[in-house]
Amino acid sequence: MTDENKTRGALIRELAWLYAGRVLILLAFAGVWWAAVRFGLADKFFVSTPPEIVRFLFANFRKEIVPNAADTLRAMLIAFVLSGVAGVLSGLALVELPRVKRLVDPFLTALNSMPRIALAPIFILWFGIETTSKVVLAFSLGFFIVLMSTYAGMRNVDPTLIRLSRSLGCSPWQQFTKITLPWAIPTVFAGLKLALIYCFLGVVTSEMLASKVGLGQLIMYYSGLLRMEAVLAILLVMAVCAVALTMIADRIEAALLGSWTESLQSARG
Amino acid sequence: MYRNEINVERVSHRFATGLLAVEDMSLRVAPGEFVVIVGPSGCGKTTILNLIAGLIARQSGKVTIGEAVPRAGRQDIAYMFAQDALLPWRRVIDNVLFGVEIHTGTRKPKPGVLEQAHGLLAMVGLAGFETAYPRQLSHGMRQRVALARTFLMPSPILLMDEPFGALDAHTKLALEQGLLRLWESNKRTVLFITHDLAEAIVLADRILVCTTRPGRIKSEIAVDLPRPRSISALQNDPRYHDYYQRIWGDLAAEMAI
Repeated sequence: MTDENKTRGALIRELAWLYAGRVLILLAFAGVWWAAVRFGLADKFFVSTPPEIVRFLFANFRKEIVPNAADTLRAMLIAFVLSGVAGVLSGLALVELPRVKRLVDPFLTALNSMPRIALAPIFILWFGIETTSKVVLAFSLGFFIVLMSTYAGMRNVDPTLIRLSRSLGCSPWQQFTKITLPWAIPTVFAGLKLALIYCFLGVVTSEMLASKVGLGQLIMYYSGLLRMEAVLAILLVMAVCAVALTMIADRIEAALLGSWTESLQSARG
Repeated sequence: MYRNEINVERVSHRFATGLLAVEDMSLRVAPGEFVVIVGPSGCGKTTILNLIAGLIARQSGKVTIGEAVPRAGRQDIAYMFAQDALLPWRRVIDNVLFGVEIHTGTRKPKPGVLEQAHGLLAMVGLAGFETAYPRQLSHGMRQRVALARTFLMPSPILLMDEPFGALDAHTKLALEQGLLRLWESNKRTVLFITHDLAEAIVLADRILVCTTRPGRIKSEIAVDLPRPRSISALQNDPRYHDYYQRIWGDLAAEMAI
């Protein structure tokens, strides 16, 4: 059953175990890693060690990690907001205009199945090596995800609800605002969460190819210098960013939809 | 002719697949009468309701509600389905108000309607669940919410398409009694469809037995049991069992058992 049936104390205990367990997994992983290097099973030059990574993070956090991460996240957020707005609006338009949807369908499929990384050099040529080309690449990923999920959510309305709507005599506007739109919201939200991660990916990829600032650019710089501890530290920062973004999105989703969808648990830890 | 009388005359209906669902069916439901159509599954019962509700286009024959022809979204008809068709994002009370909300075009209920909604929820045994969401309710409870939603609409005609068909036996009895209570306090014209003979007898003024596809009315039985009816008292009433025996023969022949 859901968490609603448990007492508050039991819930807190369960959460404490959950977090303790996760920390333990991390520590065990770091321990094995360190031991493997210490006893000569792995070459430190290729895999570095956990203490070195921590040392790098401490030394470079303020002057290097934070400003670069800020730049990456800023570009990601711009791309995400644009993907969200444009994706939802285009999704709605395609549902409302089925003839247009039929017309452009092959183009959408072609664009969406194109490996976006192959477009990155073009974007860099067109938009330069600053924020714009990162945003455009990330947008080209996020937009389609939101578009598809909006379209799917709006098309998959429970036929019984459509029957109800017809028997009650809902106007097209009433059916749209009172049935189709709320029905699609969980699916749209799932698309937005996916788009968030893909926008992050798009920005980092663009930065790795050509950029002045950003976590992706930093990785390329340090791997050129064969500084494994720096590369791994930046990867760790990226992972933390991605997990944090997902958690925030989960919480927003649970706050907005948790009461009527089954997704209540996703907000916990 | 009365406004809330249903007349179906010599209606046939063929699906796009070529399947003849209903053939030459005629029936009449008088104002304030509770008529139950009972028949095997796939005998075109739902098709008849959809035709009366105007959800599908008439092909041949004549269907009238009072003097009007069917049209989807008529406010004098309330339609209840086997599925509860609740909106998952609305609390129970807002689901009950949904039909009225669409009819009046405003979310703000007229004076008295909200109280009426609470009263209906109490009558179907859901007092205290007003702020719950559908996912928190059992199947039977959700169908009660749908029942309250249907009865809150002031429509004089009710179409009910196996509304209790998907429920367990015990829940079904409770809901049948709830429906009787609601109907006996405000007698509307009801056309109710079921494949359950026991359900037909306890509810109906008149039962129409339907043939297998293509659907036709095979026989008609007036159920002369006194009202208000108590379903549990009827179980020990020999007249109830007489009706059961009499109609069962007709129905069993159609169900081929």
